[in-house]
Amino acid sequence: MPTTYNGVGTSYFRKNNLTSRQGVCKSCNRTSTLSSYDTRLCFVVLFVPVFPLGRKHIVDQCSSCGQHFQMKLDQWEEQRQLAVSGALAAYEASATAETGTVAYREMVRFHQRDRAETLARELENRFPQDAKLHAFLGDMALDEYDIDSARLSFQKAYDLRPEMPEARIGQATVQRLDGKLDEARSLLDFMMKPGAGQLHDLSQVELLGDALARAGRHQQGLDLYLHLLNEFPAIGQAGNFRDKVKKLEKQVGIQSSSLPKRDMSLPGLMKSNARGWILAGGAVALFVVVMLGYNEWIRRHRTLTVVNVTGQPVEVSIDGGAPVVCSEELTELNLVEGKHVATIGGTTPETVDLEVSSSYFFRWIRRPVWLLNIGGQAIISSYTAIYDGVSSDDLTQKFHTGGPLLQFPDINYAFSQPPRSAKKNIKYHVLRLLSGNAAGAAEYLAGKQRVPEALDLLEAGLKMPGYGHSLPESYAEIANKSPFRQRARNFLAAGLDRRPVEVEWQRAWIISDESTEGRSAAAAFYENAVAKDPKNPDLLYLLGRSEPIVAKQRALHEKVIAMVPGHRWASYGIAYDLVAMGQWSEAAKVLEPALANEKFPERLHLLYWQALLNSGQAEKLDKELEKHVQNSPLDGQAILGRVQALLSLKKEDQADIVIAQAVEKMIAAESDHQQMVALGHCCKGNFNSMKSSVSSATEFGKRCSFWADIEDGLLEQSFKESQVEGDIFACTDLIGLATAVTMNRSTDSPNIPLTDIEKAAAAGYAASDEREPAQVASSMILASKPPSQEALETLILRPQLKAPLCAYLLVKHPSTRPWLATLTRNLLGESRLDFSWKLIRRAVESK
Amino acid sequence: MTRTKYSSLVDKLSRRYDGRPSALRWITLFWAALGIGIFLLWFLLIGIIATLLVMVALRENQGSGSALILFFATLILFFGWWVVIRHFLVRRISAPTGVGLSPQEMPLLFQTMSALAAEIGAPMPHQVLLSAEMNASIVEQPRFGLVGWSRRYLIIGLPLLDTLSPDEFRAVLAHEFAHFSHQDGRVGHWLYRVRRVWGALVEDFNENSSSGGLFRKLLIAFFNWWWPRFNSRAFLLSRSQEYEADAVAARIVSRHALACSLRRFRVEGRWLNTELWKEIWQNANKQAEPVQGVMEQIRSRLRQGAPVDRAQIWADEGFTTLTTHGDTHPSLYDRLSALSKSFSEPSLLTDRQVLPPPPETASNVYLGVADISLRAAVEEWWADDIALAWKQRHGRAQALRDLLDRSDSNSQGDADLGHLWDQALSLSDLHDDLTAMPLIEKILSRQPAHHGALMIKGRYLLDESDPAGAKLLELVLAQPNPYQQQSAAYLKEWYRRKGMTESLCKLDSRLDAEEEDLTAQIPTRSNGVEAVFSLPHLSPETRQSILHSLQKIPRLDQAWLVQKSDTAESLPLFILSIRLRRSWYQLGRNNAEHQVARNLADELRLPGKFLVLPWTGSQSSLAKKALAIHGSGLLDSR
Repeated sequence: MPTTYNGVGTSYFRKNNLTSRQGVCKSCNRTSTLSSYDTRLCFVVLFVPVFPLGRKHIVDQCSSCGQHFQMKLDQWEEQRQLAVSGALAAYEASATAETGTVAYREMVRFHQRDRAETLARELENRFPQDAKLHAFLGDMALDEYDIDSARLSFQKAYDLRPEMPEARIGQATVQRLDGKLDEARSLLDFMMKPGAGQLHDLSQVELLGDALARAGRHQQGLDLYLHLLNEFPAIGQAGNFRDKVKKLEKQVGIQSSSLPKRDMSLPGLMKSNARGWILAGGAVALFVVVMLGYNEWIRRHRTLTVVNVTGQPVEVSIDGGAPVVCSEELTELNLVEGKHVATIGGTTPETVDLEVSSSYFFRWIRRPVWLLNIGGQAIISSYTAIYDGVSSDDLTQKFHTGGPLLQFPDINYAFSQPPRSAKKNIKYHVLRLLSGNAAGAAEYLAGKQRVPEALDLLEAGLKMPGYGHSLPESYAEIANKSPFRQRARNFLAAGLDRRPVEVEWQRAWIISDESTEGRSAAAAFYENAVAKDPKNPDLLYLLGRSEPIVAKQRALHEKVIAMVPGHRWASYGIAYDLVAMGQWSEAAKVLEPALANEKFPERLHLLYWQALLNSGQAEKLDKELEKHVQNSPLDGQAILGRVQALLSLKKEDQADIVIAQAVEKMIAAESDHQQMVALGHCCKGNFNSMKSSVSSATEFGKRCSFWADIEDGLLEQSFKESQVEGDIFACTDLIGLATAVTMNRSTDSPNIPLTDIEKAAAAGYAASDEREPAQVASSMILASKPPSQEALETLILRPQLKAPLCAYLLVKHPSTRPWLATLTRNLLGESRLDFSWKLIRRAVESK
Repeated sequence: MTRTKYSSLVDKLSRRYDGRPSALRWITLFWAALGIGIFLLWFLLIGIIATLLVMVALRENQGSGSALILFFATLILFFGWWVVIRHFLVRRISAPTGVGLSPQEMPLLFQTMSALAAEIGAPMPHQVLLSAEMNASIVEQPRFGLVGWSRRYLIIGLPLLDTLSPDEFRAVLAHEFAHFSHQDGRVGHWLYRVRRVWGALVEDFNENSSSGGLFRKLLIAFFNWWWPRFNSRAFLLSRSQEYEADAVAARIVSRHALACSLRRFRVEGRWLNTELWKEIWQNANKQAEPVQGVMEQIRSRLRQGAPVDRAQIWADEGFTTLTTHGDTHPSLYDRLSALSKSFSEPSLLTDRQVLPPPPETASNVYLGVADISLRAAVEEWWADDIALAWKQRHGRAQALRDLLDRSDSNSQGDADLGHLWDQALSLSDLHDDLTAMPLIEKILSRQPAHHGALMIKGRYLLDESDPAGAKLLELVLAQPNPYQQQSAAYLKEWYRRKGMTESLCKLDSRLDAEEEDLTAQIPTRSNGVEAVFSLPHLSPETRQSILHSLQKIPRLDQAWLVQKSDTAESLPLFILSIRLRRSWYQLGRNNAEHQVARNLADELRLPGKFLVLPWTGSQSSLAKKALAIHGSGLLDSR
């Protein structure tokens, strides 16, 4: 049957030699107009025929459902000609009613009703006394729903031979259709004799029985059915017939049925009306068995994923079984649903009670995930994504840490991304293991204004033994920027008495309130603590950290180092002060012993790498980072540190290779590599390439575009770009713009209001996390007079903030050049990672 | 596959494997293995598909998605397997029935069987049954379809015991045992069983071949291709095993005993089946329950022997009847020829006299004292076995009698032809053709070409071994009418009995042509090249009338008329080819030409089938072929 989809497909075109008749559709079983015609099957576009696919003859197209038979037109025509001409030739050779009826039948078969009608009249005239012929014509008329003609023909047949079965059956049919059921019953009396079923087709008896039942003459209808049952005992197994008999027996009030017992054997049932039900039941039963098996299979094949981000292999044993060494981040263990005991090996084995279970029905439709979070250190991100075919859009993201058992009720993709073939616009529940600690996740949440969640996450992490070094500080910083400062202070205060002293924790407590009162309170607390334990270097360091006066702070830190050479926090404090003054090589010397001692927090590494780079030790840095990158191939800071080192050594080709290798690994790990490429261009000073390598729709991309325009001298454009809403641009970006504008001209213009830029940059500095030094820096930007050399040199501000500040002050106050150019150059060193590095160099070198 | 194609395939294979029974066995085995292989492959394929889906579902373990995949796997598994399994469940080959015999009841029979089995090297049957047929057979009933685990039954007909002498009966037993001898080979039995099971399966599949889904249609397509190829080989193998079994029986018992048993079986069996049983069943017209004493009646009649005149005709027919491809048993003549050839005894073929009843029958010897009780038991079993058929026949007779009564009471004077025909049919059905013959003659005197009457008279004459009946039946076949199929069947049987090979082949071809689609009769582009045409044999009036019709057609350019001369059809086939003038810009199919052809076909009347073919269109090459016949041009207006 031709079909079109959105107007494209196949369709019939034109109808020739159309004939129609009333009849019962073989497809929908409805009485409708059945049309037969010649047509052409065409391929259509927008329902317009484009090219023909062949000529067809359509047979009995139903006006209700459109179903029909079709065959090739030429084939149909040949069959028609052969059949009709053959039958007519036989009739002409031997003109009998018998051959005439054969010819008539062929004509009707090939829809030549006009010719058939003519032949019928001819036959009637030629054989007026042939009762069989009249009965035949009556039957044909009935087929065509021509009741009047049928009535006439059957009457003629009956008049000629009232005993002839065909005539009586025909008459009975007409009488039944006319509602004269008694007359029909009387005409069919010969069929009611015993044995009549062996000679006659008793379907008319059943139809009459149906008509009687419909007319409410139940007993008479039942008599006819019982006669049929007597003649054909096998009919007693036919579902339809049984239903009809049962219904009438009920109506009549017969208690014991005349029907035989139903044959309940499978072959017997398969021959009954219940066949469809049996088949469907069989399929359903098989499906149920399969589903029960599937449920049991699921129950026996639950997966417990051991998440180990400790970096050390851990042995996990379930219910005292053989221990499994979990050296990877994710290790899957098969479990049967139920209660289990997991023993996590190590120096101090930990026992965890697990309950792995789900409800019976949810086993089929949900995919729960159970995680054993070793040490509670892993951060698991769960989110719902809608996949658009290219990337997934995170609708909600939650972070989970702690544990040791984490359970997720329904996860589609655990620790894997939805594939590209995933259905679009369907929600997928995804689990992801975050690299790093909870700090990054917490910052993400804080950035999404979900500070309570961020604090919850960090508190969960901090409650775990061996929490990440950076967690306390992140916690304090996030709380500081929110109305939940007191919550953090209270939470952290609870850990101040823990011994040995947890420096990170206590530092965070100090940071959580860096107001004058807060610091005073902290200083008082630690003075008291030092008094109680004067030889504790950590308490001494913390006293220094809470000391507001820089010189005193420095003295205390040096005292700590004298007590514990290479004390990491004291070393960091001293090194920080040194780099703020541009003394990179001294800083490197201070940091080196600290690095040799123990595992360092990331920030110490970064500071040390910067110190090496900017103190002329690029080659040493390159070697160190080469090793580091081999172990951590996706560590972006290390890769870019090495790139800077190589560029400093004028090894641009090697730098390119390092970037290319890193990008390749990032692609393989399905990690975002765009930033790496862009920052690589930044390091090389190719700002336009940097701009084009990232999407301008992202915040990072906007900053890249902003700096590319500054480098191209398109300052108005840069200014316009900086006027977007939100905190996309950092204070260093704005001070950079101010520097560039000042280098071009020193006054305001309507298009680039320098004063406004200056104010915005000053505000940005003031709001940075450097607190008091940042306030000083802000006032220096706005001041019309240049700052004193001492004031600027002793300003303890990290070089990433201080270098752009100095560059701006240098171009704003050219009189400071003799001393400020050197300071600025020292602060910048060989660093190329910040967007402003090239501008700062120009500012230093300009005259 | 049509009868003709199947016959030619069997003949071809028969020639190819003549004298190479081992090769025939192997090739049959190959085809059987192919059928079973495809069958197993089907199971395997469906299983693999379903398993793969289950594996995907378990691997993905995606909750509702996996459940959906499992659902589809279930559907594929269920319906894919069900389409085959249901034929085993619904259509099981039932075990044969009869009166079970035990060694205690018939010690001599079982001793004889044991001795024969031991000598031939055949296993004893699991059960021996006594039946009411004039036959003896061994039947294997597979309890698990193709898988096998068969149970062997030896069925012995009581009338056979009453007909044959003890030696002749032993020869028959030896023949049956030989079928299961180790010499005959286990492969042969297995193939026989496989053929039987597949036969039932194929029949079941073909019962409603147009219905069903994709799975069923795929299987039917395979069966339609595979079954005739396997069956033809298995058929030849079975037939060769018949000859081998005859040879074994002749060697173990005696060639004369075997030859006599075959000849007696031929004559007495025919008598029993065509006359004695008919007489017994005539009682069903009168009484509702099966008659008593049937087995005794048969014995006494068989003891008297068949009427000599008819017996000689049947005996002679035994030597002329052809071996056909419908029965694995060769004809009497072929079996005796094989024996005569094997044992160099020409007298086996030359002695064609009707054998007198044996002085002592096998039933006398083997039934012994149990004769009366066994006979009663067989009669009881028979009455039970045919109870339903008897009841139906009785009912039919009642209805026929009622119809005849009504017909008589309503006939007013000289009844019309239809009336007479109905009465004749009823009488023939109720009694026999002889009773209906006066009415048949009356009908034919009024309408000599009445096909129904011709068929009944022809059938009656053939039953009386009068060749004039064949002529009447051929008349029925000459024109389309409702009695053609029945007439063809009677005629075929006659040709077979009389050894008229050529007539039989022609009739088969003709039946094939009529059974095939009408299009098969049309000479098409592919077969039309070979079609043979000649100038039409038409009267001048008909020719003139065609010309008259043609001349009325505007723009008619040329017309040709030919007759297909190589058709097997009873009616001639004419091809009228027409060509209309067309404008220079008209290319390809000329629709006007087709419409004219259509209208002309409705208008013309020729003394046979005809096709009006336009010059353009799918049949243009055939239409143009008429041009090549010299003198076929009917009209040329150029």
